[in-house]
Amino acid sequence: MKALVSYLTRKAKGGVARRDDVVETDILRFGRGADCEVHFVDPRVQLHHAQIVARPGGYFLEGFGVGDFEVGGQRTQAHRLNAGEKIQIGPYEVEIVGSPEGYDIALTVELVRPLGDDLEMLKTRSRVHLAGGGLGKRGWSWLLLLVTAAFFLGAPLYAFVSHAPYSKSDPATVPHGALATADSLWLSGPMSGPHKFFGVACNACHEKPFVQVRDESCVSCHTGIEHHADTTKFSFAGFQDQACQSCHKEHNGDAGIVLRADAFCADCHSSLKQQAAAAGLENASDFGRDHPQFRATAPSDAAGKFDRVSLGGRLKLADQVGKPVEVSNLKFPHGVHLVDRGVRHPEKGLIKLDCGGCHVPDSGKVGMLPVKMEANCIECHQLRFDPGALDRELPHGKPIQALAVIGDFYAQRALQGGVEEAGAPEVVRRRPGTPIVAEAERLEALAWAKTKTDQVAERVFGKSLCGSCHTVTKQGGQWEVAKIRLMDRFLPKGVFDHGRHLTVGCADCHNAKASEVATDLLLPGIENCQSCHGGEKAADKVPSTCVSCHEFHRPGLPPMRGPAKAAALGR
Amino acid sequence: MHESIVVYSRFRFFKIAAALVLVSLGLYIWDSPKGGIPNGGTWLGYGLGTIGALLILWLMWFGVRKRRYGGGTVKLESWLSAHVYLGLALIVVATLHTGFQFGWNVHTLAYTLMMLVIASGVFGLYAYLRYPRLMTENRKGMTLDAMMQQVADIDRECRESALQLGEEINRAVLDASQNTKLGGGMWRQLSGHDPNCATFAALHRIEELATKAGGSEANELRRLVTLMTRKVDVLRQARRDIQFMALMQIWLYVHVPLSFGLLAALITHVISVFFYW
Repeated sequence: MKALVSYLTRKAKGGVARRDDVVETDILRFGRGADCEVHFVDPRVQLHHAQIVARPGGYFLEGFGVGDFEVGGQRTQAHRLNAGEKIQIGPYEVEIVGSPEGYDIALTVELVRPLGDDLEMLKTRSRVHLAGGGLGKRGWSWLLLLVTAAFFLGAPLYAFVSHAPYSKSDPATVPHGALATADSLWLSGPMSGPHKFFGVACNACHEKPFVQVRDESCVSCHTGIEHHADTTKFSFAGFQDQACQSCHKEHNGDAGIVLRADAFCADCHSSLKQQAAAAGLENASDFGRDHPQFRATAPSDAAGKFDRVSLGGRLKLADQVGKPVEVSNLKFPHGVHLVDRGVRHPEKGLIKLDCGGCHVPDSGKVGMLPVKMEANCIECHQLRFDPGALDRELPHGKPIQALAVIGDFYAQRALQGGVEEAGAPEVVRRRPGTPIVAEAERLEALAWAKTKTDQVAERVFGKSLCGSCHTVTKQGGQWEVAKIRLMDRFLPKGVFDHGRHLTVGCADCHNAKASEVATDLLLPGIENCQSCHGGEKAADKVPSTCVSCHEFHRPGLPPMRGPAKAAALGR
Repeated sequence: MHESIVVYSRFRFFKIAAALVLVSLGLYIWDSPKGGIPNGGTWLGYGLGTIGALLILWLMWFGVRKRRYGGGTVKLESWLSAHVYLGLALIVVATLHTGFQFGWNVHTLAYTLMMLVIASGVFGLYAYLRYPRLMTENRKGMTLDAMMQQVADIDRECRESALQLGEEINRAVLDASQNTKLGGGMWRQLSGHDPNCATFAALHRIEELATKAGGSEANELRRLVTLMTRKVDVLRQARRDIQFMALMQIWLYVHVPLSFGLLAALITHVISVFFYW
């Protein structure tokens, strides 16, 4: 077979370059191999891809092994060639031109699908810069800006707008749900415990945007919070330029809602004596280092005058020199009742008393219940006035009735007769049951009863019963028992919580055992407290601030804020 | 001579930032707020917060300033040096502003975003101080384009060398030249290599086939293996170059968007504390 193989190459500027090759062979082979008559320089073609063979009936194109080709879009392994046919072998197109003069077969070969530029293709496949992928820096910036603003600014603002006004009497005004409480995202810190139950209702306190919490919001619940001092005397103590929230800082948990720092009090109280002498208060700034001696409020004379008496000068409890006194008008030596061998009980013999026998904490365990004759004393100090009248007892606290009970008893005895007392008139000593006939005898009997009553009353009131505890005087024939002034609290400006000191024995503070007279004021001085308690920053003692014992808003004073103040200012 | 932004102007901005930090710390230690609880709402808290907010706005302005080529009387290096040191000082100023009160709220969100922005900035500073030298060493005077050109050239050479070899080898060579790529997604660029590299696979396969070949084919194969090995070396070098470039850019993809998230959180923070005053 003599074949004309024309290699066509298209030029970039148009036109086709043509290189003819004349091949004389039995078999015309196509392939990458150097031994092929039609040599394809492309790895996409096989080493020996296909061949044209003359067979009966014409020229045939046949594939080698795995090699195949396409004719008219159909893949095939063998094909009888016709003039004008185009055959695809890998990236090459082979066109059967026919049989021109002098040739058995002529064909053109053209690389129609070149591999392309390696560099360009590598660049196309590769992405070597971060830029250009995804949202980019600008896109992410916008996204984060908008998402943050929407979630943390938009949602809380919506929540604020959608809140109904808070009402403490209507639990439904506390918002529910994620969107309605979205302004909680603005919480700057944990709520204090007492405010937590309406904590998500921000508008309960923050009523108007960009306006600090107003006192009205506070006093709508906290009515009657008292002033710190009498503002008619100390106008500066009204704190008119301060709002509730100036001191009571919410959103700091429980720690912040009540100011405990000494510095706040010491601001004025470290030099209060100079700033407001009329207050009669000593300077104080730190319990451990700068606090005056306690001054107990106690009755200082029998007439009922009250004084503040200093508890100073008692560095040791045993040393009671120059001791402060309270004049309660009661004759009650503590020591006598607390002797080690015990005290005599009318029925039980010797019994040992302790503090708790008379002093019982109140239900809050802060203070003590008042000591009462009826509850604490009468078991031993029975009010019987005559061994013959064991069924009769004098009423306590009622001298007129007591005198009547005595008089009644002796009148009855006199009229009954049978009195065995020597020196008594005959009529009184007569056989019991014998009637009195003469009026004169009856008057004599009653006269004896009156005398007897006076004698017994003298003993009972003056000495044995009333007089043993009370100061009793007889004025114009009337027995007078001096008024008892027992104090509930000796230190009314401070609060001492007995319940929180239960691990301390009574005698550690109150040296009652050594007290021989009722006028001993059995309160410890500040030294006693300072042995355990130090100032705010004490490292080796119980740190104690002003408000550990003192209240800022003082009970008994008018309200600091609220209706009363508003009225005073003409609002 | 080139002066690093770290030592710029003889540590001028380091000194300013250090002074700001020391003054803030001193005031924080000295101050005893009413109530004893340090927080952003005391006079010192408001003061530190104002300084912090203004610093953040000024630091973000750097993004605008650096785009103004030749603009401004102060040199960009000066700006960058100040940006770095005052940005670091912000850690102390803002932390003291919080009074160490943190919670699940927009205030702590702003603080967290700010710290992330600063952390990414610190990485950026590290990248700018470390990677340019490593990059120069790796490049050995070449650019990435030159490396890619080399890869393309070797590809063509490989194909030509393989033409007279077997089908399987040709397929491997063709696969290596048509499917090898550099870089790719963010992680691929940052990793500096490509475990699925078509050239690695092809080289491996050709080496395997080379052990079975003999005669002149073996010689041809050895030549091909040498070529492919050279290509693998160039690919490694290019991927490392891409990795350095990615490392020097990636932090900005955190730094800039988080800055804008921070801007929104900061504005919200300021509005919210006065809205609910």
